[in-house]
Parts: sequence; C-alpha cells; structure tokens
Amino acid sequence: MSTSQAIGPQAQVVEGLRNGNLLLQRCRFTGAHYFYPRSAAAGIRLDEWELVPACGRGTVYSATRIDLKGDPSSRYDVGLVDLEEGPRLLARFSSSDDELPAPGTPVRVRIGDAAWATHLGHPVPLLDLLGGEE
Amino acid sequence: MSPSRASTAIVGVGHSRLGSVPGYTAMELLAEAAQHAVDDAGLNFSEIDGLCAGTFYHFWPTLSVAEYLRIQPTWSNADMVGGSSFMSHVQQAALAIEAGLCRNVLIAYGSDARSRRDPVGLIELPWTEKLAAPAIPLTGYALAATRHMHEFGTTREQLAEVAVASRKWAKLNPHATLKNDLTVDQVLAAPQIASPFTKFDCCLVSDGAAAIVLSSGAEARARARKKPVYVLGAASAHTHREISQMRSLTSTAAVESGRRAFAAAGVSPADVDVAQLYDAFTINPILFLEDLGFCGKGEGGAFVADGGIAPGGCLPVNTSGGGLSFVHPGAFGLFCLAEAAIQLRGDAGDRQVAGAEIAVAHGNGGTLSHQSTVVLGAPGTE
Repeated sequence: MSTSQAIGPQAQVVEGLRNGNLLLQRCRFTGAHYFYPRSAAAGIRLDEWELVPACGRGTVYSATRIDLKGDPSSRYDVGLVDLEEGPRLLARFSSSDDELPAPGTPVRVRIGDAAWATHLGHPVPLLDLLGGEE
Repeated sequence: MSPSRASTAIVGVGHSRLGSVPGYTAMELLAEAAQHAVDDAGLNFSEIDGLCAGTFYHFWPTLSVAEYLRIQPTWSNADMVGGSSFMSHVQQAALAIEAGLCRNVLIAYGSDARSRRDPVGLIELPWTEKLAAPAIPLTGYALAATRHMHEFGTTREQLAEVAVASRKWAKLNPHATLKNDLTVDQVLAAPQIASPFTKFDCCLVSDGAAAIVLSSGAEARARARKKPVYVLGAASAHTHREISQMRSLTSTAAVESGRRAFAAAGVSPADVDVAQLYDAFTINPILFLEDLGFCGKGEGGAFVADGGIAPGGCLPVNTSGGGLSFVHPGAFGLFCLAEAAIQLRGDAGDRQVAGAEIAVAHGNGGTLSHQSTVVLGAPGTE
C-alpha cells in the first residue's frame, strides 16, 4: 500500500504544463505511451510507469471548426491529434485564421497561454501548423 | 448476457406533453409519462415492483422517482450511460424479471432541458477536455463526421439526407416538434456551427418525458391490454467516455452490441422491418446502419442517399421523426424504444410501417461512447 508518487498523475500533468511540457505516461516494461495518465489501469501497473515529455510532433486525425455565433472573433478550431508517441490528444488550434486543417495534416503541440483558458490558471496544449515560424 | 428470447415484453408505452412545457419540472413530466404508460399496460402504480430511472438531474434517480411516484420497488436500477441508458435498462430489467426479482418494471425518463436551458450532467467535462474546452457533445460528433467523410468519402449532402428523412417522418407524427418542409439545399445553405454540421444536423433541445412498462411474456399474454412487444435480444457495449479515448471515430461499440443482440434474437439485420437509431446528430444513423450490419463499413452515406431511410425508402429509420425533428429532451433512447413498440403494435397511424414484425431500437450514450441494441418482435415472432 505505498506509492513513490508524491502527487497523482493528473496533478503531475498540470505541473508539466506549468513547466512547458505535455507529459505522457510511459510503461516501464513495454514502452507504450498513454494520455491521459492513469494511476493504474489495464496495461498500466501501479508505480510501474513514468511521465515523459511529448516530442510535440503529431498528425491531425480529425478536426472541426466551432462557430456557434457566426462570428469570427468567437470562432475556434478543435483537433484530435495522433501524437508521434501514439496517444491521441484533443486540443484547440492556436489560430482559426486559415482553412481548417484536414485529417493527415502535420502539426506541432505547443504549451502556451490562451485567453479562453485563463480560468484554469495554467497553460494548455495548443496546436500549431508547421511552416512559417518553424 | 442477453435475456432469454421473448421472456419479457413491453406492455405499456407513454409520453408526457412534449416540446416546450414551461412551468413543469423534469420529475413532473416523468410522472405524467409514467401514468400514461402504466394505464396503457392496464396496471396500477401499486403493481409496479421494478423501476429503472437514469435522469441527468438526480444523484439517486431511482430513489427520487420511486418516492415521487409513491412506489416501493423490490428491484431498481439507476444505470446511467447517457442516451442509451434505457436500452441497458431493458436488458437488465428483463434479466431481473427472469430471475424473479420483480414482475412489472417501469422504465421512465423526464427532462425540462428546453425550459431550464441547463443540461446539467451533459456538461460534465473530463479534466483533459477542459484543456480544450470544446462545445460538447457537439464537438465530438462533428469530429466523427469529419473523419467519416475523410475515410469513406461520405458527403455533406448525405449527412443532410438524414435530417431531411427525419423531417419527412416527423410530418406524419402528430406529436413531432418540427414539421415544416426541409430540403438538402436548406441544410447545406445554413451556417456551419461545427463543421461539417449546420444546426439542421443537430438534435432538438426539448422538454418531455417517456415511459415504458416491461413484464414477463406470460404475464403479458395473460393480461396486457395491448399487443405485447417481445424483447427478442438485448446487448450493450462501451468503448470510452471522452472522444480522445475513442480508438476509431468511424467504428462504434454498436458492432459488438448489435452482434450480440441479433444473435440472441436469432434474426439478422435483413429481417428488420423498422429501425430506431438514436440520431443526436446526422452522422449517428450513418454509423449505426454500418455498425449494426444494415450495410458495409463506409456505405452508410450511400444507404441514406436518395431517401433511403425516408418514408418509401429501403429501410424505415426513425419513423417518429427522431431526435432531429420529433423531440430530444436531453436523451432520446426511451423514445426509440417507445416508437419501436408503437410500430410493432400497429398503432403508428400515418407513419405506420405496414406489417412491421421485427424492430430494432438502438441507443447511443455519451459521445458515441456507450451503445445498446434491443431487438423487439410483434406477437407471432416469439
């Protein structure tokens, strides 16, 4: 009945975001990655995992443009992204100025502050298209 | 496991006033529906000894509902898995009746979602989704539609065909909310609120309640006022809670629930005369037609094209008008079961599917998360 973790995996992910990292869970035995991290689950034994920063590269699995008010100022794009390590992440794109990225589009996950997420009190994963600032 | 074939039957069906019913609570509407269902079954509340209830508004739904109705069930079940809870209730209630735990089970649901403008439980955001703060459940279904179009070439027009078909059925249902004409062009011309969806791809937000009564097949034959509608097979499966944990957005747990429900019923999709496939969004019936085996994977768009599921099409789907045009009080699953029973009784009026003997009521819960399939049969199929 002991664990080496001072805080749970959810709190560690939040701490990771504060440090600019998206933390994935990696099984010490198989090397398989998971997101979100669980304290224990099928294939994830209690304490036999570690949290590691994601490399940040991913590919759009699906995406949608949310525009409930017909107003570009409140419009935003949401993507499901297959991370290079395997897990899938739901995140907002940092901008919806361009055309909605199609499935298969490569993206980079960046940890940053967003106006819509200020109530969370920590940065969030944001999706950037490649090119331009790269 | 599925309950034994035809060991139980739906003997009562009812609904409350529907659409916009300001001034009434979810529980008041639920009781209204319950009274109609119990009357329809030819029973009294005192004979209801089993209860299934899963509302969005009550922490202990069966305790609240039983107390309100002044009944004291010997068995109750508050399974809450979203809009498919009620198919899961049928499965579990049938097993409870078979096991001798109770005789007459009331399955009831009510909501004042339209008047309250507060979907309460529906908006529980898993913490990882807070990192994206998507509009839910809209976003998850839109992502599934985007992916289906990408993988299979499903078109924007084909999605619209689902909305148009539901509207055509709704025009035949005196209780339906939306009965004005709707065309594919109108659906496409509306602004996209969550690409590829326009508002016409999204279900209603209604006030309303539904209820059914399930009894043993023997009891149904002995005393039911209306034709018993037999539970031939029932099965459930689930794959995730939040959309990021769904492995493939184009294949749901309906593959599994459908396979087991049809096997228990001893019928195949080709035997089905009428299908009620929970249509929270237009992509849903397309996915479920594929996953339940009415067509191949990726062929759902072609299946619904050219009025395929509309009146006069190759398979009558959502004959009530569905969640898109009939009613959608936060959850629609119980209305799928009720409409299937009404069709198999032959009581569906202008929208009656002639000679309907086998029906499927398929429920969807969460964000394509939980799937539950009930195969029902008219007298003679047991």
